[in-house]
Amino acid sequence: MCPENYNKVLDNDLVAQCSRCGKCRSVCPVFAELRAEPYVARGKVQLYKALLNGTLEATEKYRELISFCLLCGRCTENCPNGVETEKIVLRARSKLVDSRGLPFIKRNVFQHMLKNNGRLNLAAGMLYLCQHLGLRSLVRKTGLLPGPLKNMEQLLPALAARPLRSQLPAVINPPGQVKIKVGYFTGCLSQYVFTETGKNVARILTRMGAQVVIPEQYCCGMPAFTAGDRMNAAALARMNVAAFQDTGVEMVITDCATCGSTWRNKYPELLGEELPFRVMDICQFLAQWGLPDTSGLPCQVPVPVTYHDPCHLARHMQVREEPRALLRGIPGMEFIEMREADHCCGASGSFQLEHQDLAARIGERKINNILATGARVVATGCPSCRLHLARLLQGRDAGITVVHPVDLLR
Amino acid sequence: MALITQLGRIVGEHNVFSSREERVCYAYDGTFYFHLPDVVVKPQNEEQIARIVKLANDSGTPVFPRGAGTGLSGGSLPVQGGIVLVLTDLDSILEIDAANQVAVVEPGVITGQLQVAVEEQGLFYPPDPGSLEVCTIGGNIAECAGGPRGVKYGVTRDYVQGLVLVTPTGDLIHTGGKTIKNVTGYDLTRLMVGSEGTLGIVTKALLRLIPLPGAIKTVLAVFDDLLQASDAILDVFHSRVTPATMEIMDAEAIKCVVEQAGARLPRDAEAILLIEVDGRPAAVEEEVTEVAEACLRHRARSVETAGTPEERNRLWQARRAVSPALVKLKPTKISEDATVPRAQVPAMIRRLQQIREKYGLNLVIFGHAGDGNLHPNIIADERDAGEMARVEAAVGEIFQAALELGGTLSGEHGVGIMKAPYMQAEFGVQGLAYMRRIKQSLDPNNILNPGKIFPE
Repeated sequence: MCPENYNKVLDNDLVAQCSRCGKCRSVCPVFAELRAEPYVARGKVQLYKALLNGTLEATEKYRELISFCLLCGRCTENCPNGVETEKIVLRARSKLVDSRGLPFIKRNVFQHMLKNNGRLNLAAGMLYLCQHLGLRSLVRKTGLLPGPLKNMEQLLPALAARPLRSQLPAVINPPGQVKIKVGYFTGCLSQYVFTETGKNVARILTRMGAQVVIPEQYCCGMPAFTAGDRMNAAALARMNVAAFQDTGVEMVITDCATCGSTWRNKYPELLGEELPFRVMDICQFLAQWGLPDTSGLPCQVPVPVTYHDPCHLARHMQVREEPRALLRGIPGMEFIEMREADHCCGASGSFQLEHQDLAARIGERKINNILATGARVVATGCPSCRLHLARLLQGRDAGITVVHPVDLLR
Repeated sequence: MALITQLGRIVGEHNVFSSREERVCYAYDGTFYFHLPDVVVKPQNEEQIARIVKLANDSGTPVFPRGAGTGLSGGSLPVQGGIVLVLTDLDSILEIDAANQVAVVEPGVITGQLQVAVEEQGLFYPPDPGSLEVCTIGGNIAECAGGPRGVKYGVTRDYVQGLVLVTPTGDLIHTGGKTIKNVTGYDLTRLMVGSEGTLGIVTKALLRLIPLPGAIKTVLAVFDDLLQASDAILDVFHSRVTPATMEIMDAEAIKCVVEQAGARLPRDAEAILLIEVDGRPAAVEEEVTEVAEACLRHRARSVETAGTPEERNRLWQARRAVSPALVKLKPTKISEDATVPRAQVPAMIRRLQQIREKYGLNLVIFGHAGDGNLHPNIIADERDAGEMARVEAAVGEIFQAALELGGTLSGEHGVGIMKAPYMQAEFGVQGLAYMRRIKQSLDPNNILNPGKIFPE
């Protein structure tokens, strides 16, 4: 189950890096809202240290406190000692799953849904029908679902009628000569929700001379990994790497910050070996391979646009300038930098499901920064941020749309 | 009624933390000690603090005031269990009085945020402890925090002009005021600053502000000889320049940042000085030339000057890299702050080097050379008992050296629990007894922060 090198760096050595200086108190988005030590990086590192040395047991309270981390990486970026809180929290969660198991819903989703595309497609189809046959309003009006589930139901995104991969061929050839052969990892959200973005990615890649290969593939595994389920995360990593290896591509392109960082940073750790291909975010690829001739690509929305840095792109993949260069390069586009552009928006994958109110509070700061720019469009390279921001902006009735940068390049 | 229930009635149940998991998060500070409190309370106003302290007196429960928990002497740690009183929710800047150049703030205000707020009005709160982005004014007052600017601007005590505080028996009193001159009665403000939460809990502080210096320039000088560097330090002052900061790094510190952090410094240098001057632009130009010339007179290998924020930042990089570079060697960092008169800095550095050789420890020397406040840092592993025993012996000798050179145990971190065993060496039996009598008369039940300052 565990790759060989997983325990090369001991848990004790990871937590020992923290000198308890408390500097993370100035940067942690969760601490900024809750303002108590258990919620800051230092607190969580010391909680895990206490568990390791026997001062604490893996209680429900402990589990709850360890869940209050966005894994945004801002603490590490600003830590004088470079303490890897994200890694420490993930290990703490993994240990919790070892000792306490996963909650019922998560266990079933990770074990039986994510690894089985047939079931996932079926569930997505049912949800789509539910959302379009008036069942959704029926469910809401009758109060069929108990409190917490009702809230979660409202957070579920509106699904596309047909999954992306059922709309695209497995191999798409460029109009001219094949300059490079790339694999496109669609991620679950381009597959089921933002199918238009997925089509835009495929279109732009082929226009640049890439042969785009889209093999049968699975969830990247990050939802399982952040919940502490290393076993299913590793299984998904193996399945995905094998799927792309069989196609013989040189490079895997992602349009989701989370999927990209999972591939690039987590897969080698989970599998205990380097990947046989490069992994690049679509914006990074476009920046390195030369942007397509944008004069031939009229700007769809000639309005002021701002950019939100997803944590998984900015800090976990070091992609900051590329999407901005892309936006600035579009003729007629007015790019406005927002304040605190790389502050976490509070979405953090399933964090927004588990800590809804807190995620919204953290997001409010982001929304205020967006509104202050006067932009009509927010571009961001992470579908999870995109959903969260769109929902919060809708609440403000601000008339601002949230898109992926490639959506502006049609 | 159980204490926790009573505390809940005072501050509201949601401001009382009693689970073991939450208490673990208030069992540490910036040192390597760990002391678990019985309960953690977050009061919302000074009346609640007074009621908690009264309750603590009635029930004989010790109270340990705490800010952001960044202290480096163990000053806020609940060494006897009891109540940890977290003051970070009292965080309002109540007033910035530009005419009288004072600010009135609550104890939980973050030092760096206060600085930003007063700078917007062209004013300046100079104390700059290393943790200023997170530490609180209350904690700064309790420990009398300093920082690099101490050499020119002094330390926290020089900027505290008045206080409102809850006494150890739960009464509210005030000291000082907005006037610069005030000799009415005992100077209780000065007694409180640096009393480490043993004599009262500050609920409001009246802080003195000064005009914001208009310009600032930085000089980085590299020396082949430590003695030349220390002669240059004295020569700068002799040239009638009082630098805003004057930092030194010894050969070990330089080697460490070059090897561990890739700092661009000559690996074989014996010392570097990082000197800043600030004030009116014309004066700064003149003074920076004086500083550079003083360094060159003492055969500095190279002297660089910087004026823009980016360039200054670049010169500071090596100094800022010291702490992170150190923990790459070993995880436990023991940061001392024994301080000597400025002219004794070279002698102190030599003594520290001898101690390093004698105990075979990773000891690097850096710190605030201009005010004699050196930071010998020992890098060890708290899991290695043998090494930690050598550390303890070395620390004892560091204190002895500082005292023999006419210095003091602590320049800016405070005594807390780390230096309590050495207090008698500095004050003698009678001096310490005098201090104890102050503590006993003001806090007859020994409720506020017991176990600190005084040796057991």
